[in-house]
Amino acid sequence: MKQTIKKNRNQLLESWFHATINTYPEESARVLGKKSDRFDNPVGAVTRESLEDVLTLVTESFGREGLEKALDPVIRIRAVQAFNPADAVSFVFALKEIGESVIEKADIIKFYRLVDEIALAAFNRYMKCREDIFLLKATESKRRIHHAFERAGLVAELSEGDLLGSKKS
Amino acid sequence: MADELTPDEALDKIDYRPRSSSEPRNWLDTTKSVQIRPGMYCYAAKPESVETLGLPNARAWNPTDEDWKLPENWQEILHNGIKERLERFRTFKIFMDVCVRCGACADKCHFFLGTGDPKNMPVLRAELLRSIYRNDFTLAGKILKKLPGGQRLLGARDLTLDALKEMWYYFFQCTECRRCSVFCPYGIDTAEITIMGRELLNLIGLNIDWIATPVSNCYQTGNHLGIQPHAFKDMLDFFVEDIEEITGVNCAPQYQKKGADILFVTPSGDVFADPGTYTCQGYLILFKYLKEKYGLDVTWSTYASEGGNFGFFTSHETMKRLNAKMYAEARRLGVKWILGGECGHMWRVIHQYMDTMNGPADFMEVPVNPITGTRFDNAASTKMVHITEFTADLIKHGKLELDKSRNANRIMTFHDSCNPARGMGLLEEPRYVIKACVDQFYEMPPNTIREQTFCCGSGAGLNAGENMELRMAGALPRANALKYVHEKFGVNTLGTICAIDRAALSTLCEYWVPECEVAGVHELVGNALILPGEKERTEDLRMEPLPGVEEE
Amino acid sequence: MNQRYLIPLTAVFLLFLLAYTGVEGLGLQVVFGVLIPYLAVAAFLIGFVIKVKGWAASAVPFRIPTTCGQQKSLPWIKQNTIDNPNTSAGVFVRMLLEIFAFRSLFRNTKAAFNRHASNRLSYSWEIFLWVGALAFHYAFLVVLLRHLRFFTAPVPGCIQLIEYLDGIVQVGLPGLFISGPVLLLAALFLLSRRVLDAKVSYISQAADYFPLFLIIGIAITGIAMRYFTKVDIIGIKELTMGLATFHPHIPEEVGGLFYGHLFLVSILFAYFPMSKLMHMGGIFLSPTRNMANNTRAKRHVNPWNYDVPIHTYEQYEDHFRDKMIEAGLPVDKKE
Repeated sequence: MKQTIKKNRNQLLESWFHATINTYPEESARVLGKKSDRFDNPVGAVTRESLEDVLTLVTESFGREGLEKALDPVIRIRAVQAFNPADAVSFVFALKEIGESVIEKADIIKFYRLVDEIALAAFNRYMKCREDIFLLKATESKRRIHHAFERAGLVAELSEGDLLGSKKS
Repeated sequence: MADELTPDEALDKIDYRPRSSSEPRNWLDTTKSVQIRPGMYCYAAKPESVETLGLPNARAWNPTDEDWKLPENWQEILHNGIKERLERFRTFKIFMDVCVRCGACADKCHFFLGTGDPKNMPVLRAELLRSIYRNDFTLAGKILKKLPGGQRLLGARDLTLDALKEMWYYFFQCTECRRCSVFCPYGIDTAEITIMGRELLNLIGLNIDWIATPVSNCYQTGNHLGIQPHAFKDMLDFFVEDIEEITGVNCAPQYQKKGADILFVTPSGDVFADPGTYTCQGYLILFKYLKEKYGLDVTWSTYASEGGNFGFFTSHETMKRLNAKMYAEARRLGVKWILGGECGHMWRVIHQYMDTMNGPADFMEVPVNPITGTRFDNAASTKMVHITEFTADLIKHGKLELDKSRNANRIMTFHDSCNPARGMGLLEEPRYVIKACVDQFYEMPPNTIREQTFCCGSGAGLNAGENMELRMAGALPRANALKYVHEKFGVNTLGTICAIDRAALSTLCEYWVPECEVAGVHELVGNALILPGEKERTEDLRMEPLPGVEEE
Repeated sequence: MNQRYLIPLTAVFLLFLLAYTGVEGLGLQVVFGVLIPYLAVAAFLIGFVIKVKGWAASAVPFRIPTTCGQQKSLPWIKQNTIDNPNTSAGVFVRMLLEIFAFRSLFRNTKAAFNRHASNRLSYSWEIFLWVGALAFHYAFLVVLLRHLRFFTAPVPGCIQLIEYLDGIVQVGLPGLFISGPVLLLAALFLLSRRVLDAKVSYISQAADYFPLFLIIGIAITGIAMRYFTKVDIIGIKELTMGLATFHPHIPEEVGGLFYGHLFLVSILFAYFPMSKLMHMGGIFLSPTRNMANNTRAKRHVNPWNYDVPIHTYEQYEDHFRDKMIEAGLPVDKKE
C-alpha cells in the first residue's frame, strides 16, 4: 500500500489539497487554492506543505507524534478560522474517498485505518491548538500588566509561570 | 465503482463547501446569514466608558443579543451622519463613488488571507457601506429602488438592522492598516472607510469596550491604562532601579519640568506592558546618556503620558480631544519641541492629523537636534520628531557609543508597522538604528515589508483577548513571513516600532513561531549604549545574561 | 443562471434592437440620430460637471496620502520622491504614473517563491489585470480620438497621425485599425474575469457588467460597420457633421446598424456620470494619491475644524493634586 501511495503521491496530494481548500467558501477558495505565492497566500501554501508532509510521512515508518507534527501547521490555521471542530478536521476524511480510486481493493481497509490514524492525530493537534488559544486569552492580559503590578506589590496570586505550567506538561 | 473513477472525478463528487448550493450567490442576500461568532468580535463598550466622553447611547448591550438597544430613530441618525460626512470628507465621497470592483485589493488584506471569509475582502467591506450609499444618496439609487429588482441591479440595499449588524461585525474586523490602498488604482483607502463606518456606529452607541475604555481612561487620567500620576512615576522608578542594577548608573527621568528642551511622549504601553517596558528603559538610558554627555534636557509628563490615541478608532472628534494634551502640555511647559516614542497609530495621528486638528504649534521652535545641529525641516510645522529619526541622526554623526556585542545573541528582522510605513514612510530610520546596534539583520520577503508590510492583526483597537481567533488568523500572513526568515536565517528577534505590535506580535509569536521574541528598537539601543561611568554589564535589560558572559 | 450578468446582457441587446427597429421599422431617424445624441451629450456634460463639482465641494480636512516609499526626513536618507512625494512636482509625477501607467495596479504583479524558498521566481497572473486594463483604456482612447474624424472638417493632422499609427499593421481593406479588436478583446477579458474568477464574480454587481456589455456592443457594431457591412461612410459623416455644427441632417442611405451603434454610444454617455465610470474623474481628486506627504513640514488647514471639549491640565491637577504632591511630582498650585 505504501508503494501505491508513494507512486500516486502527486495525484493524491493534488486531490486532497483541493478537497481541503474547498472547505472554504468558493470565492475564497479561488484565492487560497492558487499555487503561486507563499507569502501572499499563506493559507494555501501552508496547507499544501502540511498535506505533502503527511503523505510523505505515511509512506515511511511513523508514529502519532510525527503525524501530529506534520499536521500542526494546517491545523493551527484551521483552529483559528470559522470552522467548528468537526469541519476543522473533516478534510482528513476526504482522503478516504480520494484513496479509493488509487488503492487496491485488498488494501482498502488498511488504508482506511491509516486515514483514521491521521484523523486521530489531527484531532489531538486541534485540541492542542485550541488549548493554546485559550491559554493565550488567559495569560496575555496578565503578561501585559501582571509583571508591572506584581512589582508594585499589588497582586499576589498565581504567577505566569504557574499558569503556563499546564502548557509545558 | 471506485475503479471507474479517476481521482479528479471522485473529487468532483465531494462537496466540502460549508455553503449549500441553495444559498444565494449575491452577497447582498446573505446579510441575514451573518453570524456574530465568538472569537471574532470584541465585547460591547461599557456604559460608564461611553458616558465619560459624553458620547451617545450609553447602555449595556451585547452583540450576540437580538436587541441592540438602539435609539428609536437610529436609521435617521445614521442617514444624517452619512450625509454630514459626505460633505466633510472628500475621501469618503470619492471612495463611495469611484470603486470599479476590479478586485485588485481582494487578496491584499491579512484578515481575508487569514480567515478566508470573503466579506473580509477590502472591496466588500467597503461595499457594505457603499450599498447603503447607493440606495439612499445617489440619483440612480433613488430611482431604481422604486422598481422591482432595481436595488439588485445597482447593488443597493436598505439600511436594515441586519445590514447594520453586518457592518458592525466587519468594521471591527479591519485594522485600518491601509495595505489595500497601496494596490488600489484610485487609492481607495479602506482604513478611511472603516474610520467613517466606526464614527457612524459611534453615533448610535456601537463601540467596543477595548476601544471605549482606553479612550475614557486616557481622557481622564492621561493614558489608556488609566494609570494615575503617582503610579506612572512608580513604574518608571522601578525601571530606574532595574537599570541601576544592570549598569550601575541612575537614569531617573524628569517630570513636568518647565523650560526643558524637549517634551517626550510615548505610548503608555511602553510603561506598563512587557516587552515594551524594555524599550522604555532604552529611552531612559538614551536620555541619561545625552544629559551626561551633551546636557540635553528632556522631560516626561504624567498629564500627556499617552502617545497612542484610541480616539482615532472612535471618531475624528474623539481623536482630537485626546490628542490636544500633547500641544497643551508642550505650551504649558514651554519646551522647544516634542519627541515621540515608538508607536504606530500614534504616529499616523501626529504626522497626518495633529497639526491640522490642534495646531498651529507656533509656540515652539522648528526642531533642531542641539547635539548634531541637524534641523528637522520635515517637522518644521508640527514640531514633533520621531525618536528613530532623532537617534538615527545621533548615530550618523557618531554621537553615540554603541557596543554591538551586547546584542550579539539577537538575529534580527524588522516588522514595519502599518501606520509609520503607509501613513508616513518611516522605513529606513529604524533599520539604520537596528543595524547600528546589531550585527545580524535579515529582511523578511519583499512583499511583506515596507509599504507592503502585513499588519500584526491586532491594530486599530482590536488587540482584545476575546477576539483571539480573529487576531491569530489576521496575524498569519505576518507570522508566515517571520517563520520563513526564522527557518532560513535563524532569526530569533522581531524588531518593531509600535507599542501594539510589541504586545500583539509577542502573542503572535507564541502561537505561530514560538522561537521568536519581540523587541523595540530602543531596547537594542539601551543594551548597546555605553553609559558614562557604567559598571561592566553582565545582563541585558531583560535581566538575562549578556552573550558571552555565561562561558566565562 | 446569474441575474447579475444576464439582465445587463439582455438590456444591452434590447437597447440595440430598440434603435434598430425604431429606425428600420418606424423611421425614427430623427429621434435616434439627432434628439437622443444631443440629450446624451448634454446629460454627460451636465452630469459630469455636477459630479465633479460635488466632489470638489466636499472638504479635504486632513492630508492623508498613502505613502508607498521612504519619506523625506534626514538629508542622508534617500527619499522615494515618487511614491512618497513631499512636493507638488513629486505629486505630479506620481499622478502621471497613476493615470497613464496604472502604477498601483502594476504592484499587483509580485514575485512568487516556491516551497523551499528558492531562487525560482515566477509572476502570478495578476499582471494580466494590469495589462488588460491598460489595453482596454488605451484602445478606448484611440478609438475615441479616431472618431473625431467624423466631427471635424478638415480632419486635423494629429488625428490623421493617430489613424496612421493605429493602422500601421496594414492588413485588410479597409485597413485594420488595431485599436478596435484590442478594445473588444480587452473588454472580453475583463468580462471573463468577472464571470470566471469566483473572487471577482462575488464582488461584481449588475452595474459592473452593464458598462462592459455596452462597450462590447459598441465595439462589435463598430467593427461590423467598418469591416463587414461597409456602411455608407459619406452619409454618416454628413449626419455627424450636422450634429457637430448644429445643423442636423438625416441622410437617406444610412441603415439601422449605425443607429444602433449611435444609440449604444448615447446610452454610454448618459450613463457615464451616474456610474462607476466616473472613476475617470475621481482618480484626479483622490486625496490618498494627489497630496504631498509633507504634513509635518507644512500645516494643512481643515476648513471645518471646530473646538472640542478637552480635559485640561488644571482639571487634571485638581483631580490628582494630593497624589502628585505625595509622589514628588511638580504641581502648579500647592493646594
